[in-house]
Amino acid sequence: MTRADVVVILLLAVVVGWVAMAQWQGRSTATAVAIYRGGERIAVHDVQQRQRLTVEGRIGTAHIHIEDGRARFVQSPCQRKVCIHMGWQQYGGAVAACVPNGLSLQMLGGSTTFDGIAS
Amino acid sequence: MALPADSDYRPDALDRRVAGLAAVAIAIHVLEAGFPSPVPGIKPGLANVVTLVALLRHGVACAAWVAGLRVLVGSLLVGSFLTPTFWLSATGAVSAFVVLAAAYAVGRAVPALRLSAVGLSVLAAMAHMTGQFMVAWTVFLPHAGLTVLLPVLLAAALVFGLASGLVALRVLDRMQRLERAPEAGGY
Amino acid sequence: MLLRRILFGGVALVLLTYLLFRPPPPGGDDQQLVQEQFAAMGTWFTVSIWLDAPEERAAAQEAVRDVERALHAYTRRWQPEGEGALGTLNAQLAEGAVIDVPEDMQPLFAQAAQWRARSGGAFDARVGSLVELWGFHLEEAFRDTPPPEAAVRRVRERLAKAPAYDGPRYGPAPGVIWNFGAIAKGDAVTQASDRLETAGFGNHIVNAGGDLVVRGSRSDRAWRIAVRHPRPSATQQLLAAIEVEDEAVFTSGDYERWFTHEETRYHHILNPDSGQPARGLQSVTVVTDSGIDADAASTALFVAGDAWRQMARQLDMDTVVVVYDDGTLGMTEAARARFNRIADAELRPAP
Repeated sequence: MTRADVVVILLLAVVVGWVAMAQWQGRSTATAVAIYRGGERIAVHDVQQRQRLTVEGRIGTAHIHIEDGRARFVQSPCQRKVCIHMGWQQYGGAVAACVPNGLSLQMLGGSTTFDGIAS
Repeated sequence: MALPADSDYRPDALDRRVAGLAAVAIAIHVLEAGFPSPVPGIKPGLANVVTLVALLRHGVACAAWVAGLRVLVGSLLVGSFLTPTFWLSATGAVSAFVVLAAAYAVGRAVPALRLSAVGLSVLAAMAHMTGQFMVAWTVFLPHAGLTVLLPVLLAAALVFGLASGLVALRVLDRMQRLERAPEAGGY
Repeated sequence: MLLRRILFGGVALVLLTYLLFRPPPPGGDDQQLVQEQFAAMGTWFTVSIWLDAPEERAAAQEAVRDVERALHAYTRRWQPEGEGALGTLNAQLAEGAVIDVPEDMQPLFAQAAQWRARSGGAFDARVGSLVELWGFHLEEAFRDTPPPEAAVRRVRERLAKAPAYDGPRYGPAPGVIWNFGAIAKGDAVTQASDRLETAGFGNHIVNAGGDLVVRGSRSDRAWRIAVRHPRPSATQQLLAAIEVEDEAVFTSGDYERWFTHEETRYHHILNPDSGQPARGLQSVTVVTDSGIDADAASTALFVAGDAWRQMARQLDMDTVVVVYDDGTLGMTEAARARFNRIADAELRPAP
């Protein structure tokens, strides 16, 4: 065991850490989802954790599902169900909103995220 | 190292050393192949201990023979010769050996940079994994998602490299002690 | 023992490096990014502002509140029905009266008239009666069967006879209901953006439910905008991405308001000529300098359908992406140069 050993091992450890970091930052998908009521952020959830949320909106209860890095509205008291039709949101910056019910969710995080989604 | 039967060629010291060390390496290689790995692509790589011992005790040439024979004969015995597994193993071994030889040469030239078995082993393990991964990624499974595995694989290589380095250190130590004892044979 | 120390040291270092460089924790947004959301104009607004300094956050939020109030006032004024300014004008027109367009509304009337002329009628703000006939003006449930042929024909005939707008005085024009739905959003979003600029926030995105105006940049890089796929699937949600600076990105699509009847999709972008939903495309995205132009042009191009390339030339729109009915992609040369394609839809070459 020499001093050079120590240096080499520590350097390699840094390399491993750096690769891991690059890997994490290279992800294009979101890391979290924020839920808004009337424009106020009321909750932030990890998107990897499977969850079934019920959220009270202006006109009733909406159901939001979170799983596998994605989130979506699955049930809503609104009539046009635009929020449900918007489907799964996965990329950072993506938004699904229910205007009548005053609820929205937005995906957060990831480095190749987009600042705005045009549709 | 096959010898013509009717030759008066006598195996020299290097031949005997290589044969002995390669035999041990091949045995470990086959044994390791027999154990199922919990994560594909991750193996302790204990066979590298033998290459390391060969390098530190007998030099680059001996280590090259041991590593080459190990991959070739080992894969023939396991039945993976010329299959993807063989190419992965061969690339890994070549990458590891090149890095190992380079680090060894640098250590000889500049004593301050001299690595012991542990440093060499970690370097070799990382090189082995990197080489293997590049081949796996570019040749066999060009899928972007694969890179997600790289940090895990490299971290495993680091840990296993340390482990086999420590084993190599022990082995070298033992061999030295055996040598001091007059009745010891040794390689 | 030294070896053990190094083993632990190595593992600890890997952990430390990871902790140091790991992505920000959920919700940990940038210090200099303000994002506010609110409902206005029947859609969901997201305003993103890049601050020069984190201390400006409160001021930026106040500026957004201002924008929100202005947008509510704007909506009231330009609502085709009801008590607002345009609602009143439409009510007067319905009684057969001649209307005098108030001065502050004349610019948008003039813009709409100009766009109708430029697009050869593909864009027409006088189609309110058609929209009402189809029921797409309703916020909530609309009809689930197309209106009777005869009714559509009657509205088309009256529209064909209706006068064009060419001054503050308009009418009498029986059957005309002014509806600025295909241009007012562009105008409103531009005004919102101007308001933020005046308040000292020159780096921002005003996103009105997917139609957006972009100003400045996000510190050292341009704002990145992704265009949503008109038929998103689990694996392909985004169509293409583009970096923009001081531009507007507007999309017209058949997926915003629609119903299906006997396996045909009836959507809200009506062809003023046929009185039916425009056919041929699923979506049109236009990138250009002005929000008003982007809004009106995306509608005109959508109505043009398969002939969108010709219409784009006619309207001087060089950055256009369309999705055809069969899911293939159409892009102008400039669009091909600027957009990064995300979805692996086939690109239909220019004829």
